[in-house]
Amino acid sequence: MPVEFRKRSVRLVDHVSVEEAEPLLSWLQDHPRAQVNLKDCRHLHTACLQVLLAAQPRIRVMPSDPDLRRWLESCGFHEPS
Amino acid sequence: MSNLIEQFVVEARELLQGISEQILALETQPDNTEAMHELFRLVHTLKGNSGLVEAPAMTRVLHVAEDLIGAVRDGRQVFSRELADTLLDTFDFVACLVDELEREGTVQASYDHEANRYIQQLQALGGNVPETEATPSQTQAETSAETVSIETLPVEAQGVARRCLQAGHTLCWIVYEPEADCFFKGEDPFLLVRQTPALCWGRIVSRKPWPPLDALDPYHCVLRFELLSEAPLPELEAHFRYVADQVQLCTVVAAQPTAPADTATEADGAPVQVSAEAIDQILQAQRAVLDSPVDEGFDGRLQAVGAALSGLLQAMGRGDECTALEAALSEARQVRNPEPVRRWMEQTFAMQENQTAPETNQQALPESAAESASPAATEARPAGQRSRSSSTLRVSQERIDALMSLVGELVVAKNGLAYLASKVQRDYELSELSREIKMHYAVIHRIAEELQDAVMQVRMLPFAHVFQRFPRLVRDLARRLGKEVRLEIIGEDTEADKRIIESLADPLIHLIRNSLDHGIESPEERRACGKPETGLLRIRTRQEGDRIWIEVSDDGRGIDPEKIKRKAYEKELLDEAALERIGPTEVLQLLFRPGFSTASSVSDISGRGVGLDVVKRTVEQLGGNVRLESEPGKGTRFILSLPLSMMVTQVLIVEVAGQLYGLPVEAVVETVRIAPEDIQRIQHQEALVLRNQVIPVESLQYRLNGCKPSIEAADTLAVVVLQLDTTRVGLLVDDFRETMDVVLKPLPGVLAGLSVYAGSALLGDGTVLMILNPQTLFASCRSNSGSEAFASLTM
Repeated sequence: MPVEFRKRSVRLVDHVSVEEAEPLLSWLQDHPRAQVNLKDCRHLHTACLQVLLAAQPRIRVMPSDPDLRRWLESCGFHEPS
Repeated sequence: MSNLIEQFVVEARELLQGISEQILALETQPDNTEAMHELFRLVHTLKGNSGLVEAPAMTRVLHVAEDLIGAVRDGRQVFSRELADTLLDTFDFVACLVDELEREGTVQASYDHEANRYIQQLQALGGNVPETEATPSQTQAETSAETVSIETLPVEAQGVARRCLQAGHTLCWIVYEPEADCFFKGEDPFLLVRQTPALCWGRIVSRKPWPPLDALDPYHCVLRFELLSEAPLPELEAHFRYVADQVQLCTVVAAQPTAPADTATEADGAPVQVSAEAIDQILQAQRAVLDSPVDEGFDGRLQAVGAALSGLLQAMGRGDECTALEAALSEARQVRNPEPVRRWMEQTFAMQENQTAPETNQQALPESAAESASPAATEARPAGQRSRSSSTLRVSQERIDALMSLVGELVVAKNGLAYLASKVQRDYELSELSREIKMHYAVIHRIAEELQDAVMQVRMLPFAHVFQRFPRLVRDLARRLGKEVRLEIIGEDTEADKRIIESLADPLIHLIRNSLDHGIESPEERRACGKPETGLLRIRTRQEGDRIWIEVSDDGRGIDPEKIKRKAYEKELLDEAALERIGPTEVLQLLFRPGFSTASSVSDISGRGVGLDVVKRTVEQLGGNVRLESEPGKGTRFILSLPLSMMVTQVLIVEVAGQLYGLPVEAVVETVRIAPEDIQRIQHQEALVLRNQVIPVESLQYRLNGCKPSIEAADTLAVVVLQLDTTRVGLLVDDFRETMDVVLKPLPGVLAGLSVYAGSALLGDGTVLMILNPQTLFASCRSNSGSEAFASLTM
């Protein structure tokens, strides 16, 4: 599963496909204070990226993929310092 | 296989067919500009389509071919015969790839090498026009106009841009706004953006403020990507080729004093000067659309109005006002009332109207006129698109077949009504009711007939469908054989059932090969005979009643009957007695016997010893027959006759021992009633002399169950005279009944082995009618009757 929903966080792994956008959105709606772990995420489908941009959740770990990390940083996402 | 590939394969074949037609047309008339443009268009379309499936080799080859054809079109290259050959070869290769794609769903990389070979060939032809120069020069001319000054870039990007420009790199500013519904097309814009070559800066922005989460539609793309790349423009164009309409590529230049301040808007909006008059017209049209009543089409109309207005705003450089428009639209959608949008239009365009009102006074005043004209204008485009997409429908053959068998059942059920009417009349003597049933029967009969016609029409294809590949075939064969041949096709609009048309392709190809190989002589030989050097091959079709006639004729050397006779004797197809007796027309029909080939040498074109017999068999399976006529020195002519449709068979119903049988009407020559003494006995065989012709007579009852009826007892005898190939045979039956249209059903299961029957059909009263197959009926006759006289007669 590219998306693992936990109690208080969601872990996005590998390639997150377009089908995950809807569940991700509703989960983020139900868990407004949740955190997102992107460590092992290598690509987010545009639809999922949109969901993250709109929901602006807190990021627990930024992706280890340098390219994706740069992109997300340019969108204003940061690891909590 | 995915739907996409399936569709691509079908379309690609059509396009390839068109391409080869145009190349052939150009070969005869190299300055036919129309054909040239058409060829270019077809190749271009095919190339575009090939990008949708996994066939990089195909796309590459087509790209080079397109360049070459483009060069010819622009007069930079001459259309030569070699060029035509190479192009035809190339498109054959593409056809191979299409086949591969159909089989495997993808084109293996192993084809790359071959593709490169074709690309080299094409490039060698276009040698003086290197490929890199051919297209990019055009595209560069188109795009180089769009430049953007470094100052207009977002502040964050300016630093990067300045560094790159100082380092002497070319820099491209890319704005990519994916379509709102792009996710439904399987696109992932972010992935495409991440893969942008030589990317040096990029950011993702939302086109409008984010709505609250519960109003967010995650599948509605609202992002905009702004990128800077150092890659050359053509490479970026190639990268974004599938979304070219959503991407703006601009070359970044250092600060220019001449650059107008409003290039910023040019970068993200279309730099179009919109005349006040045009704006007014657009607004008028939108107002008219909004005025139409609120019904189920309301949402769609609202969306159209929204699209038009936001387009207008973009064009006017007021793209920032789109948000307000969106708000008005969503409000209108919620209350199902166009009022908010109308209000918004008034507020936003109030100034324009004031300005333009005096100018367009006459136009604006007659409100009704504008109203009647403008909806047409706004609806014209979607309506046009709709009609184009629905004008043809691809329906699978099975569905049509299912429809056809339903129609068949309807015809049978309908016949039941006629039976019922006569039963009511006869058994219950309710003539009033019987009359009414008959009336209803007439109505249903008419509808059923029309339905049957309609379904038949659906299955009808013009002969052009098979003929279209013949010009190429004839050209290639003629060149290989070193002959000059002109192909003349007459009546390619004639239509026949799809199955007939499709099954005829192979027999016709064989006949064409035969004519080219054996019929038409080499140019020298023709000159010696005093004929024009170019031979003529003519294919003619025509419809006559419910039959189709196809004639394949050539003006070649014809067939020598003596030679055939000798050959037939050598091959033991004829004995000496038959050799003497046989007439010239019958001799020619021997060519259709299996294993008969007159070609002295076996070539790869025709003359493998299989062929004409296969032609004959195929045509007979379709319910037709084939005849051969030839005049030595003048030419040969094959005449094929086929039923128009295979749906309904007309049968003559005959009665034997209380049982009904059907005989296909096309085999019946005549029906006669004779006195028993007219039957003569020649050895063991009964025969009948009819108009000075001896016709062997065989009893159907004997054929079917082995008992001979006593013919002496009857007053008159009923005989059906049947035509079998070149001979006639009389079939003795108890009585004739009417002729009837039936839907022939093949016998199922083990019964299918009974070759005496062509199939069965249901009669109106629900009984089953067995339809006889005269050919096999008498073939079995020949093999087990032991009557030599009969055997030699029917030979």
